[in-house]
Amino acid sequence: MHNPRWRKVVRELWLNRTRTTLVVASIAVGIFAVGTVQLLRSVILTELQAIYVASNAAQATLFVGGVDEDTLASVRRIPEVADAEGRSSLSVKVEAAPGEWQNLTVTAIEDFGDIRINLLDPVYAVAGNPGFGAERTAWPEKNEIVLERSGLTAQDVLPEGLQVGDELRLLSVNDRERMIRVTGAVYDPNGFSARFSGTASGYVDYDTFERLGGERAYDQITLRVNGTPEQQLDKDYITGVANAAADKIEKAGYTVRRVQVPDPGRLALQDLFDALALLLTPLGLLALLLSGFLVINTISALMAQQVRQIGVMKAIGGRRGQIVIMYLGAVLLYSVAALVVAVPLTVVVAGGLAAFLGSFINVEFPRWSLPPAVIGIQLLVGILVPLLAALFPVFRGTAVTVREAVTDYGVGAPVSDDGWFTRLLKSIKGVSRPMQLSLRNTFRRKGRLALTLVTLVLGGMLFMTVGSVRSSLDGLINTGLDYYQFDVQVQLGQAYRTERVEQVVRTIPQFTVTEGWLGAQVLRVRDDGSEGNPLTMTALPSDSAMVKPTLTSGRWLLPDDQNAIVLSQNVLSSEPDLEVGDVMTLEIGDKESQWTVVGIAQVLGGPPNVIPVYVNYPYFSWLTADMSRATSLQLKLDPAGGLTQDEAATLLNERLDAAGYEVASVFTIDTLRRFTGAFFDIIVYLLLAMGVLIASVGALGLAGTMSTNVLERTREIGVMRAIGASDGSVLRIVIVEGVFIGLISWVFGAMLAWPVGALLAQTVGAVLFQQALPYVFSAGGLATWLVIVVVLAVLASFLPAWRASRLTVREVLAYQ
Amino acid sequence: MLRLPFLRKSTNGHNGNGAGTDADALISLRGVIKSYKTPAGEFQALKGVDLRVAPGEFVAVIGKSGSGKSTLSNMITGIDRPTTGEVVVAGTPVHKLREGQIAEWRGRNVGVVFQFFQLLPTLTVLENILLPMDFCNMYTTRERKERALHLLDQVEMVEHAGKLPTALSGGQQQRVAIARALANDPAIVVADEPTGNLDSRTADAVFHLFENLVSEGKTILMVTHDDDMARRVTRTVTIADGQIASDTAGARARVVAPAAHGTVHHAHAPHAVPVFGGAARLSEGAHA
Repeated sequence: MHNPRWRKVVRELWLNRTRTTLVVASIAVGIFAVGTVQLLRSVILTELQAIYVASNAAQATLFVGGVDEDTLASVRRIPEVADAEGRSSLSVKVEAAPGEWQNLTVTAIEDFGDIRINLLDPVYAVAGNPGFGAERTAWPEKNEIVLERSGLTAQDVLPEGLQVGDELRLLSVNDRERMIRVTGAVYDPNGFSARFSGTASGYVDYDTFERLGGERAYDQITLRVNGTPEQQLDKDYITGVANAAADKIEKAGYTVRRVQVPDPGRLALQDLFDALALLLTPLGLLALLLSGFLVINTISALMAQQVRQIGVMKAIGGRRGQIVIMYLGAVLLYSVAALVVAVPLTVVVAGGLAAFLGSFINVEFPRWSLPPAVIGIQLLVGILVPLLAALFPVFRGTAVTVREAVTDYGVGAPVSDDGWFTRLLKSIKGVSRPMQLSLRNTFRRKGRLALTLVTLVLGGMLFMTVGSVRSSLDGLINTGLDYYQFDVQVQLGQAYRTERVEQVVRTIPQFTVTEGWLGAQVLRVRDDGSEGNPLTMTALPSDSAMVKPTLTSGRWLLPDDQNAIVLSQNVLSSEPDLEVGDVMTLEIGDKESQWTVVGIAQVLGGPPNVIPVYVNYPYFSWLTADMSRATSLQLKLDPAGGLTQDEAATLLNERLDAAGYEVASVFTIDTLRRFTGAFFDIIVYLLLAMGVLIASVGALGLAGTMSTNVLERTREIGVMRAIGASDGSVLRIVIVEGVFIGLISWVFGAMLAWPVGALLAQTVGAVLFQQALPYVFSAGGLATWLVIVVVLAVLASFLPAWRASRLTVREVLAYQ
Repeated sequence: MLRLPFLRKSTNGHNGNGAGTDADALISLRGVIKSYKTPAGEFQALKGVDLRVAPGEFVAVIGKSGSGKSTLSNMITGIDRPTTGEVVVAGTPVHKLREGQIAEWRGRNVGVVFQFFQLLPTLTVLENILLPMDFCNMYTTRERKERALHLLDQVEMVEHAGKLPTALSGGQQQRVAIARALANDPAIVVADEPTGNLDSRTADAVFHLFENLVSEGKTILMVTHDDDMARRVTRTVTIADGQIASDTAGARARVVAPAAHGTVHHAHAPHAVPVFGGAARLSEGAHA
């Protein structure tokens, strides 16, 4: 580079390494934030879509009672059905540690060589479990099992150090011990991660399934439908085909407990990631905006420091345009350096975050991907934003005339004596003189202070807000789970006389209260004759002590209600026309009946794609001729009884089984809590990561401001030292100024944290749960940020303060 | 061998007390008033100054602090603009130039030397001298370097070419600053208190450099408050309260006959460079 102009530019970047580092870091944070959000979004959504396609995911699943091969074949013959497969599941026990038995969901598959729907992917290596590394997974034969991989990395659900070839000790449904050999691991992208459910799962053939107490009949029918590409993505169409299949199965004399039609073209948890992307995108842009502010601040300071040099360059023939290009060139170099730092960092961090999120949902996202679109956005943002941010300070800085530049000497920047704020500062009494100096110094460069405060305030605000969102999510869990006043729920295979089943329950004295409910899968028949999504109807006593509903509108059921129905809020996403007072037609079994909507309730949790509605038990049992019968049992457990919910549920399952009752599923509130907690953790961790990122932008801003302030006042510090200020005094004056800025930002941040937290909680609620979160303001977040901001301020001002305290009077006064 | 125009030689010597016509003046100020707005009210730094400087003159502008002498030099370099009045330098009405035009005009026509040297701290000595040529796009890249080294040779700083200014003494820095002022071969050099920050021995050496430049045909206007220096120039203009109080021929008026000197083609130079009076090489004393 022969050109002395560019040599000056490059040399100054190198000689002012601290400043260069700060600017590069400021730009890099913005590039990183935007890139990470984009990369995460791109990787997750692309991969989920790829997995969905690759696994040939079921478009509908029918939960049925013991269907035979002929009936399954008749379902396949429905013209709209492209393919149908049957599977069966049951819950057995596995010895996870000596004497420690855990639930294990075992699914039977007729022919492992011919799985066509919900494909299983043999896994040859399981991260974190070397026992599955070297050997090839084989499909299981008699007395063998292949395990779903997420169980191998989840805690305490399977024996530690399990390897291919090891035998698992299982307890069959009828309490027989069975030794089953592990043949490897598979990945089932359509199942739930063991980390979420707390239960491992595995796949066996039907011989093994029978040995474990299962029946050679299908209890799940998965469907793929025929149709145009549009129809493949039309949930109503798929529901129609699934309902036709359900009709066929029922006509063959089997029960259909539930028809599940997930959103077409999407994996179960894709909604969560869409919602997260929706939340993270504005936060990424906020980080970028703040990084732009930092660039403005730093470049303004740089230009202020360069006033004299700019003047001299103009004096020796430099035109303003040439000088502007020099400084914009410097900004471009900062950008390039920031890109060099930020792009690889994005790949590493976004990859890590994707892996972390993937561990929740049993998806292995590609670790080292960088799609061209993401790098394009980073390049665009990394170059354009700093240049745009620098335009104003560079143009303003280069407007200085030679006269202004070369006559700029003396002590510090002049401070205007008028203005109420200066008078206010002057009127502060009772603090030491150095402290007064710190306070007044804080407000000397008001523009710079404002930009620093904006970054710190927004960073702090977001940090404090995340605390409130977390509290609100906890509040939602508590309110939502408050609905469930029971501890254990048992879904029975059919309606049994309540009194008789209760006799079995009474053999376990830890259960204090039992209530039997009826349930059915029903369909809304719209006015135009079309059918809506399957709804899960629950018929319960209106005064049930087992639920505590939270109503968003209308009322709960009353004892005298007959055809009154309370809808869960989820109904409204597929049936948005319904409101309190409307009459709706429901198809229950073969019969249609009219129901009046009396209330809308908030319901959280429960299995995915289950849309609950509630009706009065006496009327429903009369309607279905199931009086004094129950299809589910709700039970309260004595907390001092010495049984956990899971233990009690397993015990009851066994007793009911032994007594000849068919149990479809067992569900505990602990499981629900764990499930929802893990789900919410993802949101909170991601928001916290963004909060930390934005707070670090604030800290960078403060560090930049403090070092610029000190640099500008080098001469002034020299004068102070000449008149007797000790190292400690200089250090204190600078650090107090930094802490003071931090405290001001905390006050403003705290003031904004309440309303913004409410807004964020509302947004998170709206995108994730279609309802506002019950807003709980976190005072803990306020206190935590106060501590953090003071520590950050001390750290950010210490280095410049220390440097200032090291300067000798001679050096300082010679400073140009 | 490429020859470049060098000194715009004076054909006219000293013209005494500012007399002479605008036509033969290199610098001409007519009725220049300069006012500043200050918190204390309006302040007139120059109150109707008329001044003409002929080519080849060595003019000292003296006066007390705040008298307006720096403002006067700023008018000539285009660093500042008159509130009213005209400033014509080397035929260019400087007061009419736009800010963007002034910088390039100055870079090509006026060499500026500051009291505090004002070398760019992050550029080496050589690069500081290359910079004006770069800004004004003068000479080819190769010629620039050769020229810069020659100028440094003339101020006896060539062995310091690769150093940063902070490694130099005040006197050395000022010599580099003078070399830089000559980088684009301007006809005029304006120096504002060029010896004000130097010890007397070094100041004397720097002054001697100026004398040699005048002998080469340059026109120099030097602001100073050093009466001894003022006595050694060809003409002394005294400013008091923003007005020219006196304009007299200095003690050494006509000592140097510019016509006797002129462009010297240095034996090693590819093009003409100024020579500072042969034997009058600088030997600096104590560091400033």
